Amino acid sequence: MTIVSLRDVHKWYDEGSTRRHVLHGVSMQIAPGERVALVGKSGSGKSSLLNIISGIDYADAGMVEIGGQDINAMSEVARTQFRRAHIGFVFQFFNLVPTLTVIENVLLPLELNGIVGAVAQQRAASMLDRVGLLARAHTAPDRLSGGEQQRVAVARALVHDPLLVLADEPTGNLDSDTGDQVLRLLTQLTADTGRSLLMVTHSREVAASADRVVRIQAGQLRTDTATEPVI
Amino acid sequence: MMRVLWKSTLRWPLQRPWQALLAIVGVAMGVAVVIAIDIANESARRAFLLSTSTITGRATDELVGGPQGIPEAVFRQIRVDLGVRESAPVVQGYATSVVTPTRTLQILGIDPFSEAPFRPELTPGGSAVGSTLAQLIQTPNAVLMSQHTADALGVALGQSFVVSIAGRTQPMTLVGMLTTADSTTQQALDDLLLTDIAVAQVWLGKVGMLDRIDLILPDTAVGAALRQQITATLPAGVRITTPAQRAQSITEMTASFEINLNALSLLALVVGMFLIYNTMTFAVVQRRPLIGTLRCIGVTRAEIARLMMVEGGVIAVVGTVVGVGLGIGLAQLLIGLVARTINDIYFAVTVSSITVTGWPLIKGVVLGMGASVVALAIPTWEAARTPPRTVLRRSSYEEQTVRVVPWLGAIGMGLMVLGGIIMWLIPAIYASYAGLLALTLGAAMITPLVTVWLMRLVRPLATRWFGLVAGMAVRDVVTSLSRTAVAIAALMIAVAVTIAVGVMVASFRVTVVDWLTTTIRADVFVSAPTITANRLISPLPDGVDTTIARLPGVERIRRYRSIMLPTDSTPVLQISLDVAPADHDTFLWAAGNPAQIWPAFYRDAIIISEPLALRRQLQVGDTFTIQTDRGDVAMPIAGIFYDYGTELGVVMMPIERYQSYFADQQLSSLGIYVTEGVDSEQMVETIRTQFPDVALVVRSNQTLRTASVAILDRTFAITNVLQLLATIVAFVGIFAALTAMQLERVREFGMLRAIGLDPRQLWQLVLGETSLMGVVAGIVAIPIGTAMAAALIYVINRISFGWTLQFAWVPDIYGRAMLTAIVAAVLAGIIPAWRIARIAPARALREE
Repeated sequence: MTIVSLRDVHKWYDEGSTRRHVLHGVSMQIAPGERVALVGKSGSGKSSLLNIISGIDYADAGMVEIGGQDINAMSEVARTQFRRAHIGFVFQFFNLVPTLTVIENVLLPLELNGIVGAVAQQRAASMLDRVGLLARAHTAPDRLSGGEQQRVAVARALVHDPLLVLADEPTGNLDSDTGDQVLRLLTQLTADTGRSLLMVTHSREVAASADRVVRIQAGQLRTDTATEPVI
Repeated sequence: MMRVLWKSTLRWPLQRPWQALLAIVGVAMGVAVVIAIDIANESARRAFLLSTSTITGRATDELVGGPQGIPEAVFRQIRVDLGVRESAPVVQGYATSVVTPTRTLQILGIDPFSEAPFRPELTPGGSAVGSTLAQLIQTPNAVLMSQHTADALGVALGQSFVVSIAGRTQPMTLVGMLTTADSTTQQALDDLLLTDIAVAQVWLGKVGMLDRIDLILPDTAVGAALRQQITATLPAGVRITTPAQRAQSITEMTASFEINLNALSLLALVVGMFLIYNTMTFAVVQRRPLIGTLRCIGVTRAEIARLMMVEGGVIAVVGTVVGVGLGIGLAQLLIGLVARTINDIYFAVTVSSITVTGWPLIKGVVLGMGASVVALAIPTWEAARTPPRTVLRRSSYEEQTVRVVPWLGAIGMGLMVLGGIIMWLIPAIYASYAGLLALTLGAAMITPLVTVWLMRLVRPLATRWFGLVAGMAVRDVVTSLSRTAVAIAALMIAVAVTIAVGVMVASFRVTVVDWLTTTIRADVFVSAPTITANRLISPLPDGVDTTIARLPGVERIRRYRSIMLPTDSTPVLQISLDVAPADHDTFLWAAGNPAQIWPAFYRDAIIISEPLALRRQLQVGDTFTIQTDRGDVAMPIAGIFYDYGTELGVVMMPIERYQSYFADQQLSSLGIYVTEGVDSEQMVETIRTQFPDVALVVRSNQTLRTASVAILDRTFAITNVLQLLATIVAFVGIFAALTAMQLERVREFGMLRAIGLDPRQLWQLVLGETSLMGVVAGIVAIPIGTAMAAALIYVINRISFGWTLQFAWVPDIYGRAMLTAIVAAVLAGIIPAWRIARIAPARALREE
């Protein structure tokens, strides 16, 4: 069984009178518990691919199966419902909800999935404990350092036990030491929970931490090798 | 829905209380203005109807006469000969308080012996406390009044006091209080002086005459037969009507005035709507990254839309509730202006307090909430609809805005053309306002396009002349177009309204001053004091004309008799006058050939004013029926003249013909031409000395013209207040917009500080940007305001009042409008600039 299965995925963007072909028949698989790094230059199609896998965008052609379900065939509402239940997101710029406290940010995915009350509180607290921020549970996000904010984002991405965690340049906005810490945490936690992880990155270190590196160039997958050096 | 998700949205305004507060203020002010105008209009109308119904009492029918009233003999005939026992004579008039001359008191003269079935609460010995029938009849100059009126006049029971009736002082004695348990009736008793009919006849100069005879006729076949019998016996000039019909025809007089006030108040709401739209657009734009994140982690479009709508809804509810309270307070301030305008140009009405009924409140709430929902719907829909990957990129929204601008401009142009066509083709007041609204919205929609064009034009020059910071300011206006355009449009509309109303009032003034110069030719004018400023309908004492005509230095006099003439719909002003050949050029003709008008006028025709012709669709050659004391007479119309005295319409005929058709030899005013070399002011003094004990208003030509223009200015006082309120709403709008816009760019400003811009340059950047927005708003407002002025002058004003106005070009108005736009924009930029310049770069850079 695979968690992610892409077959011959194409994507075009309309730009004025021209159409730009950004993904040229991409096919790939990610196995349960596998950590994959997606690397490539700017404009190579990394983000487009990540968006399609997460269901925040759709493929113009091809099949996109996540957890055995063809999300490209789903309606917008169904895709959103699928995302809230089965996908965890870590963004480059953390994207925490500034109006919520740290623990409330972690509670949000649980609440969206109907898990509320003491059970939710316990799970959120436990996850914060695992990322080392339980003591800051009631702090506003803007009081935290960049590394701490990204640790909250990691906790938020994993708290509802998703099938797949997607990380878009998770260390791109952090210094190298902090980035290393966050990366270790992310890989450790996904390994502990047995979740699959797909990381978009420019970083050699990040790619090195993956089980497998997928390289994309001009919208096509060039290599799909185990921990091959990148960039 | 879910608790944490709700918190994520509802805490947003709490973390930005000023922004939320400004949105609330915007909604509140829009709602307040609409409610206040409604309450003020409604209060004046209700006060009039209430006092009418209290004074009418239980009468089912009433007999009314011509200008002189009804001879007392008719009452005897009805009561004794026809045996109608439930009949009561009434004499009515007005006085003013000597203590507070702006307080109009109503004198009601009744026959205490006939009253009981009609107005039990006013019947002495009924509810009147401390008084007896004997006291009212036996005490000289005795009156009854309510405790509230007594308190206002500072009079105690048994005390004497003085009022002014037609300029004469009249002593009175308070012999009893009128009380009622019913608070509504109590309100109607305010400013009412009840007295014996014989006393009232003397006070009001109506000895032997009645104003009205009230009747209670059964609503049966017997009653109908009796009504027919009464009608058959009535002398010419006396008619039977119902109190409701009379009251309705009078209140209909103010319909155009009310519609126009309501339209102006709606304009404030439209500006308020822009403000709400503006605020909610900001709320959405600022939160696009948050919305994007929420969408990524699985929040659906519908949930996002619900969140935004609920948040906006909370602001709308709070704003509306505050607006209702503000509106009631504002109504208290406006009621005086509304009542004064009605008194000046329509009829005497006493409004001591406002009456808050459900309808204006419901209307305000529905409009406030409705406007908020409409204003919220667009940004909410946009936020919910946009795919999460796009929402996450802030620039995408601006790209989208820039793409939409030409389309928006095209739709705007289309709307403006449509507005023009509607106004051109459908000559109805509501259609005209719909056309004006389309024009306004169209203008708002072309504003972003004009902004882009102007900024493209200005940018190279700004950079070359004022350096890079100036160039950045210009660029920022365009790169933040989604936010700047709405603020510019809101300010543009407010400034355009200022121009439109300013030009309309100036045009009115110029037209009226020209008209006064042509029509007011006599050197001195004499009239009796009146309550209604623009109608000299009170009669002059007998013999004033002949005495003045004999005075040395008087070349000739021109006699006028003005009465309110009842018609099938609203009453019109009938002026009967002397017209010598020398007076022919005191008329300006809208229709008709003067060579044919005058012979016809002297023969059997009348001339009518332009508003009357337009309202009743009358043309030269048509006939107009006049209810004379000798019955209805259809007189041909010889000409239609321009008149700006009253929109109710004026009918003119030679005074000799009037006196032959009406049993009325009285005069209302005189125009006196002095012989060459005689000073008009000296003549004024001579006349005043000639009549030391007679209340006369004697004014020179110049004084009368000044007084006429003063009345005109007074009638526009409320327009100016509403215009000011709309400008304040717009100012709050642009202030909110600019504050939000600048503060959301704190990070960018932090970066600029970090790379070396000093606080002074940040000030320049922010104020440069805001003043550019003001300039664009001003530039667009000039043609739009002019177009709106043209619509007001040539379409709305003509439909509402029937006046042809000259379009007055007043450069000052445009200069002031431009200045208002720039000053408002700069002022609105000061607080954000101050805050931004103070912020530490390190902190700014940390801002998300």
